[in-house]
Amino acid sequence: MKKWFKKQYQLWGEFFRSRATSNLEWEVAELENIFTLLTTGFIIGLPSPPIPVALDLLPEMETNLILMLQRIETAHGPLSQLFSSFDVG
Amino acid sequence: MEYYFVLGKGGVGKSTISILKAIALSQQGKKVSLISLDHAHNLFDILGPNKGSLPRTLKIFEPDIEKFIKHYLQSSEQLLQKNYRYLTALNLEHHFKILKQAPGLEEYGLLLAFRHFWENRARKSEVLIFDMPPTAIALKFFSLPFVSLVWIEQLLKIRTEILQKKEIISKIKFGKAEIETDAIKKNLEQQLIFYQTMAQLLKSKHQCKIVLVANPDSVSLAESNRIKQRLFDLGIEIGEFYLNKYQKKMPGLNVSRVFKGNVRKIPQAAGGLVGVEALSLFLNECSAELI
Repeated sequence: MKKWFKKQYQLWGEFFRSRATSNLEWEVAELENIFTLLTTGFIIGLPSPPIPVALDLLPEMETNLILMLQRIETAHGPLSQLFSSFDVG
Repeated sequence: MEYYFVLGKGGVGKSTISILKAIALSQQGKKVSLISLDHAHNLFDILGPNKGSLPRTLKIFEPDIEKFIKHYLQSSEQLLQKNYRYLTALNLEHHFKILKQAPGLEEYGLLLAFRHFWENRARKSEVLIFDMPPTAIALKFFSLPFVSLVWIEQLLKIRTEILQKKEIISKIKFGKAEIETDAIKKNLEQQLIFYQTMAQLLKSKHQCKIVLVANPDSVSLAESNRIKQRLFDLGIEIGEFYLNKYQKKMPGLNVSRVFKGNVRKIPQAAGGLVGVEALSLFLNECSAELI
């Protein structure tokens, strides 16, 4: 019985912790996208830092560029992603 | 350690003043390095073939700025290939002709050349004199550290916020903060230190003197005034002002608009100022103005 309660406690704890962090994780993802856009936006004509600042950062930006490419896949449905983040519908 | 950056409108005599200043300071016993950051180098043209009579404490350099850009692109390419392992076909050097025209790269080439001499000659010299390129590119060179700092500070703020939120997430999820080493933040901090050091040097009136050269005509003085304004906006002041090719009988010119301090007048040379002998003779007339 004790083990069962402990397992239930752990499962519910994990569930609520992930609910608590989902908005934060969405914010972090958006901030990463903004950061990537600011540093590599020159590729699509956005104002950007001096080329040396951007080029110096580029070797460390692999994860960010991959995330940006993944973001492009959801670009057609930004509202659906927003609703999903705020658990609407 | 003293640094001099000689700038002015094209054709006013920046290179000549740089050489005369370098010779005058080295005649005082100082170890001087004179470096041309102008793509169209002409220091050795002005000195002529017989450089043997130059003071031994004077060293002159005309670096190939394109080589610095090429070397920089090569190291960027190596880093990119190392971190993006699947980019085996990446060859930035192959596209050098286009890349060197990328906005910002030309002035960065100057910055790399400056950094090279700053780091390598500073131990061997007491004075570094930089003969700067024409106004437009010279002003971009001076702006680069300040513009870069604005961007880097903002990017660091965003990066710090990302890492703080990631820490909170890991505290909630795992009960403890997992502090990860962020390579991007480390890179930004390194760049911040470099550009802050360079900005401090350019603003330091004791260590660094901006030498503005003009001719006694309204066009040259107007451009000098624009240079002064632009540098003032960056927090950099003119240290020395030379009125080159000065003649006693001149129409009234408002020099005080450009520079309120001591205006150093270098007279118009009677003949051509080419060759070490001619320069040394001319220096006897005006060495006091150059020190």
